[in-house]
Amino acid sequence: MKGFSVDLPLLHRAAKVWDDQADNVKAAQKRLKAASSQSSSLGDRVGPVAQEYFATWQKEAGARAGAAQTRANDLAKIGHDYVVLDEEAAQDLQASLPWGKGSAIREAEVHPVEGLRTPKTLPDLLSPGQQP
Amino acid sequence: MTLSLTPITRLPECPEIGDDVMRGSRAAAVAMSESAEVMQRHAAPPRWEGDEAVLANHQMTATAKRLGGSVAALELGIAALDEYSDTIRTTLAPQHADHQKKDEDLRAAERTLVPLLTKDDDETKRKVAEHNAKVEEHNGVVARRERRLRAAEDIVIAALRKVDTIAEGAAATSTVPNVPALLRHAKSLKDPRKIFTWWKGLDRDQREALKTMVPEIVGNLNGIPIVDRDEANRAHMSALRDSIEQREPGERTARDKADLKKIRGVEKGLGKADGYGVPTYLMVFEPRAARGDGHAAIAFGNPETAKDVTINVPGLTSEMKNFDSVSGNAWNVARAGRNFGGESLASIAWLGYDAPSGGLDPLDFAGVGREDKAAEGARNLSSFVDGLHATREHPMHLTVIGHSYGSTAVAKAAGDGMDADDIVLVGSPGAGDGNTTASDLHANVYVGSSDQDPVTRLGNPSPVGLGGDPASSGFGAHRFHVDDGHRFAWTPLGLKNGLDNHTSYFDKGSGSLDNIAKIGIGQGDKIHEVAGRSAASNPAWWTERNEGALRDRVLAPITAAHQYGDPYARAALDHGQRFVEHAGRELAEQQRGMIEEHARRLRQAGEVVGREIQRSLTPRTPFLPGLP
Repeated sequence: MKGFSVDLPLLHRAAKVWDDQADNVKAAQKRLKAASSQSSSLGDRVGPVAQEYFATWQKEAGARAGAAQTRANDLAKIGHDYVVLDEEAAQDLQASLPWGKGSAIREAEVHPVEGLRTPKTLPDLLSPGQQP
Repeated sequence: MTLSLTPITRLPECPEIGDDVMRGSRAAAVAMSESAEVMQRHAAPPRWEGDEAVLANHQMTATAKRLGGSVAALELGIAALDEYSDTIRTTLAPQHADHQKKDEDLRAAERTLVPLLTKDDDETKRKVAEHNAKVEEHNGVVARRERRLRAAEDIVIAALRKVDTIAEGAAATSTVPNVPALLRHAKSLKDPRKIFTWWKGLDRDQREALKTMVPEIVGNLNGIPIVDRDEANRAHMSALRDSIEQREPGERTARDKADLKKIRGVEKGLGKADGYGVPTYLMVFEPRAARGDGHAAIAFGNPETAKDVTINVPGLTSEMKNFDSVSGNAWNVARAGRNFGGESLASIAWLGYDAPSGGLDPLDFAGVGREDKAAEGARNLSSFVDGLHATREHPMHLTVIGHSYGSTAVAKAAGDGMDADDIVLVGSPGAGDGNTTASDLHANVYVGSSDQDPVTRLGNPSPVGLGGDPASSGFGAHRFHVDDGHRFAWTPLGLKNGLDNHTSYFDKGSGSLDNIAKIGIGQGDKIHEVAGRSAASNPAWWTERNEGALRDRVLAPITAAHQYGDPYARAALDHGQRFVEHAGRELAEQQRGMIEEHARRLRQAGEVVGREIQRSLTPRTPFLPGLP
């Protein structure tokens, strides 16, 4: 049977990339919204055309920012679920081991990725030196 | 026959290009371009030949493409809006006020003529004919203006409609300029004159693409015209700030917080000219430069067109986060220059090197006793000056002003052939080892040096100076009058007076600032000149000031923290008080906040120094020059 393992540090670095870009593009969306609302000063002919142009790219920025944030959240959740599942599996595993040999399954220190906002309790197997 | 008046054509409104439209959309384009680039780094390689379904499903690759479409559409749209903006700003808007006045005059004349139309005498006929001729001429001007405006509108409308759907944006990615290739070429040029010629040869789309995709390069490349530098740097700064502010304060990293402080320092600097009708330009914005201290430069007035240009180079403790005070000195020079009739003066605050950090205390004097940072500053400054010359159509009168450690950087640049007319060194610890006389600096050299400023007493033969004292008569510079300050003195309880003499050369209303401003506007012959010092006066000055040093040796462990921390803080607070008296309350509060923060840091530094001294039982006197 073929199985899959997850490189958690990589997964969390990817979540951070998506999260940062969500912030960046969201900020761009706000700028474009402001530009759109100021377009009327460009004159009766140019104003409406510029407004439509900015509206298109403002909406697109909003969509990209939203999608990026969803990706970041999903990755964070997957990482979280993966670790939680491991804890459960660890207990099962310990139950199957000879009494007194449970220390073969050791608990490891986990660190959240700096700056990643969701979920707050995101565990991360990165050591500080490995953080992106 | 009834007389008739030719109708006056209605003058259309002049369109306005708001800040949110141009600056805001540029900042958006820069931010999206950054994200597109990040996604592209994590995307599938361009010539990947594996499973199409895997490629199509890869989200970072897909996002890179989608963002690329947005960026292409924004680049093309902004380029078109920029052209439209140029037409309005340079042609239509300046004429609009004249046309409006003419329109009002003609309508007033029309009102006086209407009651006379029933008359049939020759005088009335003549007046009506004269008026109608003026109206026809005016109508012709309005019609030509209307045609010009419509032509500009047609171009921008067509350009915006061409990229106002997602599909059109995606298609535009194949037509946008090849930025990496353009950049490689630009980097190979090096000489600012060649860079200027290359930039002028680019079309608007290429320039806009470069400003959007690599603003950190375009904004800081010497030889790029100032308006383009300003646009690139402001877009870069806005995009960075927007992105950081998108995160909740608690989620910001240490780098985010440091960047915000630097941005605020620059924004406060730019804000100094608010309400004065003086245009400002962000000529340098490099928050990551100088090992994180940052580089920045602001121009008050346009240095490409001004007759007189000054550059202020700051010294010790200058960083991007306190660029507010750095730019304050340049702004004071700009205002004082105008007071002396310098109507065409542009004043630049330039922090393009890694100025030594720290407070004004003997440890810092020792810490800045090397010329390596000044040498680096000199190279960067010369290149910046070359960039200014390259972008000007006509020659300028250029004055480069160096304060404190910045004066050493300026003198070294001048000694190496920097292309400036006048050099002003104020509060100078020395003109650099290679410069023994003013003639080594290849310019007219002026020096402002308070006799009570301890930094100016560090010039040779002091062991911690940075070359010869330019205020000494043997150096041969024009030394100008500086107001008498507090007598500098050490006391057993710490030096209480005199350090403010080092920081007051640019104070509003001071004799020093007046003389600097006169030099800046080409009136160096009108300064209040005073005699230079004797070469031997500096060691004697330090000996005299160190009379209390023996007692200090005993008291040093107790008073060290006070001595190192308090004096500058006190002097700075004195400045803050003067600022309250002379400037607006809001600005004063900002200044006070900065000073208090500085004072707090200095006190902390002083405590560390005090503990260190107590630990090692080393008195502070070895740091003082001139002691036996």
